[in-house]
Amino acid sequence: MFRHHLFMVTFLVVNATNATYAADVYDSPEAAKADPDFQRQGEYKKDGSGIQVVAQGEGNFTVVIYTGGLPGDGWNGRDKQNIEANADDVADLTEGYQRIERQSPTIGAAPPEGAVVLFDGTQISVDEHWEKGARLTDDGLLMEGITSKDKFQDFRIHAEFRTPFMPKARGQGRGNSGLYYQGRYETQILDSFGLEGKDNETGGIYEIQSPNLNMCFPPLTWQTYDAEFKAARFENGEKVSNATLTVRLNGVTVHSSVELPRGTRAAPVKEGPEPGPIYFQNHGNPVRFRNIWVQPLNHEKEARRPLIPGFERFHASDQTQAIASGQLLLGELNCLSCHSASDTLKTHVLTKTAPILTKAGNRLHADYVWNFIQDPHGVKPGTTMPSLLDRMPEPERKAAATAIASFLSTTGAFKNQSSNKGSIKNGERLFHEIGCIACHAPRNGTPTNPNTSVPLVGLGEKYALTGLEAFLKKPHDVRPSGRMPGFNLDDNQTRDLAHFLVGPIVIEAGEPNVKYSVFNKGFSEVPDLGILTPDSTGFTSGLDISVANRAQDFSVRFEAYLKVDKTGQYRFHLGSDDGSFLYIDGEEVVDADGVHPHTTKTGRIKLTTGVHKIVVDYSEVGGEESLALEFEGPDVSRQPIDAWLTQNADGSPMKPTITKSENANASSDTYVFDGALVETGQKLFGSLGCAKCHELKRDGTPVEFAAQVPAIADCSPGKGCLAETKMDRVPDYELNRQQIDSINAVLTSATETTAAQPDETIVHAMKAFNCYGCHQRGSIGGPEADRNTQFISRIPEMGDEGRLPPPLNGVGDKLKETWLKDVLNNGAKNRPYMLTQMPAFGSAAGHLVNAFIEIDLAEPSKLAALDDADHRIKANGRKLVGSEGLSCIKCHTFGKYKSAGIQALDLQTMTKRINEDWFHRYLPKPEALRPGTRMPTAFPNGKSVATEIYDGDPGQQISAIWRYLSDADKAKVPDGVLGGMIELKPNTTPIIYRNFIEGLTPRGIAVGYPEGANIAWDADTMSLAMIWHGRFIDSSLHWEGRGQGRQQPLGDHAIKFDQTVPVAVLESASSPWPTESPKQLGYRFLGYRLDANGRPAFRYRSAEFEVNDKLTPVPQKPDAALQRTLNISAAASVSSLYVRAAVGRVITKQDDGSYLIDNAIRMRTQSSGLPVLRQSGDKSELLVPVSVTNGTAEVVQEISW
Amino acid sequence: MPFLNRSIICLLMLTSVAVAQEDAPKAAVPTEGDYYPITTFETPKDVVLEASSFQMMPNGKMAVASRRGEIWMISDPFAENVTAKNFTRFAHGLHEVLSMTEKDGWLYVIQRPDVSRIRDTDSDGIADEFEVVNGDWGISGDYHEYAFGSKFDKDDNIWVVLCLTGSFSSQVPYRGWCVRVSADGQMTPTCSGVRSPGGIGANSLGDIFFTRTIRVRGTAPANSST
Repeated sequence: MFRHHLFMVTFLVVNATNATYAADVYDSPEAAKADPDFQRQGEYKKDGSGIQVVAQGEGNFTVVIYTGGLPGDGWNGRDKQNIEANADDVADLTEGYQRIERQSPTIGAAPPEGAVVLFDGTQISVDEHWEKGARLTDDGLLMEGITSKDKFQDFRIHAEFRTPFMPKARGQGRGNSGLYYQGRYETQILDSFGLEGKDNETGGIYEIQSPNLNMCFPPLTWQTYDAEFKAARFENGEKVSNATLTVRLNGVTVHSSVELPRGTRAAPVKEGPEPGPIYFQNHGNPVRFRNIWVQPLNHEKEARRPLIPGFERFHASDQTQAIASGQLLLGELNCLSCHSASDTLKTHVLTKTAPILTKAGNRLHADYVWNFIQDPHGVKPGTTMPSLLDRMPEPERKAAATAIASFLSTTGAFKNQSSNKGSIKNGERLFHEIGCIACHAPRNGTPTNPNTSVPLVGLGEKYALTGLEAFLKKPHDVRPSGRMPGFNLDDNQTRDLAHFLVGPIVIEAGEPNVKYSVFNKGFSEVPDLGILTPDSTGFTSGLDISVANRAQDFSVRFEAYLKVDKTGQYRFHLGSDDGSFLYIDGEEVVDADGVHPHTTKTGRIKLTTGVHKIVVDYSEVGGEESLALEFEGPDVSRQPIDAWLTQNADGSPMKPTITKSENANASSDTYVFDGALVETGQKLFGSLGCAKCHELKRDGTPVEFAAQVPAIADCSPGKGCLAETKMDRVPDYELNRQQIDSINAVLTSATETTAAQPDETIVHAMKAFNCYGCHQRGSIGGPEADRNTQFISRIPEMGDEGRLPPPLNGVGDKLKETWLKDVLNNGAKNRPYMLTQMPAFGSAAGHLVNAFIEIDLAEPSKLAALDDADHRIKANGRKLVGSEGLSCIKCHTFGKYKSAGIQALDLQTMTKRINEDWFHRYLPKPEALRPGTRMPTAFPNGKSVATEIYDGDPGQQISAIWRYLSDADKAKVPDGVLGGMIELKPNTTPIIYRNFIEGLTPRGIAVGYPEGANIAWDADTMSLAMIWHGRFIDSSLHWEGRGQGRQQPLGDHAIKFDQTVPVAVLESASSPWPTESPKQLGYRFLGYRLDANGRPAFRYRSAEFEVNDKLTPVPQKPDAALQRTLNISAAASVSSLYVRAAVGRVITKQDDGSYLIDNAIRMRTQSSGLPVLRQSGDKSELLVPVSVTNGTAEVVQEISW
Repeated sequence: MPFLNRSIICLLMLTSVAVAQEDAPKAAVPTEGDYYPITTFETPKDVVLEASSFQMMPNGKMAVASRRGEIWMISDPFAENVTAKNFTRFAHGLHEVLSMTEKDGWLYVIQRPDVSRIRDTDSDGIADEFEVVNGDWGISGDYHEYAFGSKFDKDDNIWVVLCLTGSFSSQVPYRGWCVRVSADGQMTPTCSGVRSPGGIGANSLGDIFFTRTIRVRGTAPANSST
């Protein structure tokens, strides 16, 4: 790096037949082929990992392994490993990787119009633009050690460079050069491939700042610097502001607006006000250059251009996709609202409409509007709003602005409010956590690229707090194009965020609006102060107790009027130290009486539209004193009432209070409302063209704009809005060169003949909505390097997966159409560990769903079919998910149950979100579909680690898991999730558990038998309600705490039965089964008796018969069956008595005489009467006729499932 | 509920470690032990005995009901030392028994869903017959729906107080009522206005009293909430 020109490098002629390692320095890839190490060094990648192999000379290498992927392409920015290696080691370490040669996205970037092309490969450009001594190689590359003749102030530069291959060299002696801006400030050029990324390595600002990522490519690879330089400013020879530099190395922003406090130590030009040259340093190493151009900028002017992150990030330095970028601008600048376009072109343009101004007066400060429309780009640099008034003479311009601002202020009622510190603090946290900073600049000191930050300027001057709150709550009501998404915040969060965004605002005392009466006496119980004689009276601003001029022992009555715009329930929060009362229209609404520290009480009252009398009585006995009244209601969020009050009985406001914001722009002029100009303002709003972009309905009728503008097809490049000097009445967007070039490109291109294709639609929309600010898809997008660290996780050990929004590769294959729609439209919050939220983009982004599906959706594969009964499939799925199977629950949450480890996505939501087909392809090889995921496979080598279920067949197991998870929040909790169980284990004798059981009436009786079968019998419905296998029940729900809720069985194969009475008298065999409850039928539960083994027999009776219902488990493989014996006693006269043995959707008689019910239960019956299978409505019923002999009858059912 | 049970446990010293030995030095401030002896029972290992009700049986044993639906019989309950050996489990699987009484060899239990009576017919020390006496009141599955009952009154009725479901309205039949259940299974609704009972019993004259456990809140003026 030092300026000593060391020309002592040995440059050997390469002789392929000679020594293997022929040279120390190779200046071209062709030459370097002579060194076998050259082919081996370089970059390698596979899913989720990247390797850089750095040649260290004569068969020695340093291998750097990056977790996640290569720097700039998946690396997590943290984890890497350096290994010293020989050629064999390299071969071993890179096995399974693919050697790749990355190319900078800005290679070959074409110069924009107006750029100075310093070098285009021709000798002419060398002679014309470079000082003497500039040398060209034979193949037309510039060599190091060159200074431009042209001198520049602010500029953008594109330069391509290539470091030599010098495997034996180390540190600063390896491929060293440097790019000097104005000959004063250096960004280093060095073969720092595989190193740390320091300030003296490629990408570094020498001795000032390291790049935030080492994006250096391997030696002899063409690399790019794209930088934007703003020169230091001087006044009278004194520096008043530092130079700043934004640098992209190989397409990745490695410095964002970094201040350069001093020139580089070894710089040829000292800091000063004059322009300076471009200088590429000679450090004696053969570094090569090509395609160098400089676009002079006027930084102040440049800063005023509309900022569209998608354009700035992907097109500002690269005109290779000029048409696509122009189409992006046509949408973001809303060009088509004035210029009509062909239907085909419209498919290439995603229009962003301007904010709807119908109720603008509710949210916008008129004086901000007044300032803004006079100079939009000055008040809010980066705005997409064009200027229309700036070319008017000043008096005319001000009058027009006053007219429009006055007109807009009549579209609503503007209320000033103070912001509060607590909310601001909370809002600051939200702003930096939920994802605002993906599009807006963080306000915590993190430098980010200002060009890719949507400007947020002077919101305190612009917005009424309530108006901003309403906007944040439902941004699409005002901005329907969805560029500003909604974050589904609750009322408190919305308020906090609004308070943070406007910053500290204090409403200063306006014109006195409240009548006060002071009494020089304090009361521990506040009386009706109205009947006392005041010691002094007067008017003051707000509920200001200092009017009493006493610290203790005093009382004040405040009287004022409140105008309410909307009828509804209002809440009033009255806080005081000591006592106070609020009366509205003579009615007591809040009682905060008594001697106490500041205590807030709330009262509710319905108020109708109109004026209401507000009276607050307050009394201070001693100690501290305070009084505050807040209110909230329809369209009014909770806020102090003071500024809303008036002393005018008709409710008309006092003169506007003056607000003071700490970040206010100083302005000598002020706006004054002029009612006489409202009508003029409305006309101007139409005639100037405001109405063309901004919807504004006056009494339901839109204000119209009538002037004629040419169709896009008839627009000429460089004319109208695109002209250097704008004609009067032509909107001025203050576009910069690149933006104009991009739009020109659309205008000069052949008329689009084909509609936009889905892949194009996706890329376009992801730029327009700045999806790329968070999500990567394909090779582009994802948080920019400088914002990346701002994305944080609650669970840091989850790494990037826990912190960065997921890549959208294949998202149309992965997610269900319904879910995609829902997420885009309404936002989502499914990753509890990720603080950034997926916000709601509304219907404007809806077209992405079909495009994603069309591009991504894979051909459906044949999914494994399962033929066992549903309850068995689900039991297997549950086992697989649980700790005895594949242990999904070790990482994934399961509904309300947290996992033991990281809290990965909720398993209960999987089938709602994900396509089944994708699920089948994903589980065997998670890494293949989601590179970098921590999700391991449970099916190594195509075999499940849980071998005993479906013989370890992955397809069948995944099908079972899917079926089980399809029950979503009804899916039975898997093993390993619940802690602190009190499991009842019927080891030797049956256990009876009476409590609230899921799916039964509250009079449930569960019985667990040692044989492994369990039942739940319902004493309200007199029926067997549920049976299951395996573990019996967990009683902790009812035995610990308050015992709230209903308990599910602990085991598997739970079958619920229809709970209509099982025994009934029918008129005939074809009569419908009774649907009345047992109570209605006169049945009465009698209790139960235990046999010698402790098995209960349940007893009930009706007017005609008595039933003894006994269940006996029958051990069998694989699971126990149940024998149910119904002993019925009745008078011999009772006839037409039936037992309904089964009811289901489908009951079929099997060859062995048993019955199969809904493919789940096998049943055999024994009785004197023959069973009858009959259809009843959409159900099948198995009826067993009961014939009573000697007063008794018996029906036996054998149930296996 | 648990606070209720725990307070009963403390009062009755079944599981607590409080001691008041006869030879303990007299304290200046009188203790319960100065007026009546307190014996600490050793309970069976691993049994959570959240005792809720006690009933002396004709055979001299004492029945103890627990919130977990068990009934234990303690033999020789007035012995100087009562150990785990004196305990046998008479019944299980009842639904939160909070009160018991006895008649004609049947142990009457007042549980969430009903008044039942149980007995041991084969004299093996374990109840084998469970008969519902009356369960005509409503129950919706809310954990507040517990029931306390008195001993039999002179007319052979058990007075049952039924906690209200929820706090502000009565949607479930007879919740928030006191009903009388006769030994032969008839239910007579007796009075409403019971919200959250903590027990019911009679004095020596037969007057019935019940206790309430609910925090009393101050009244708020109309149109106001706190």
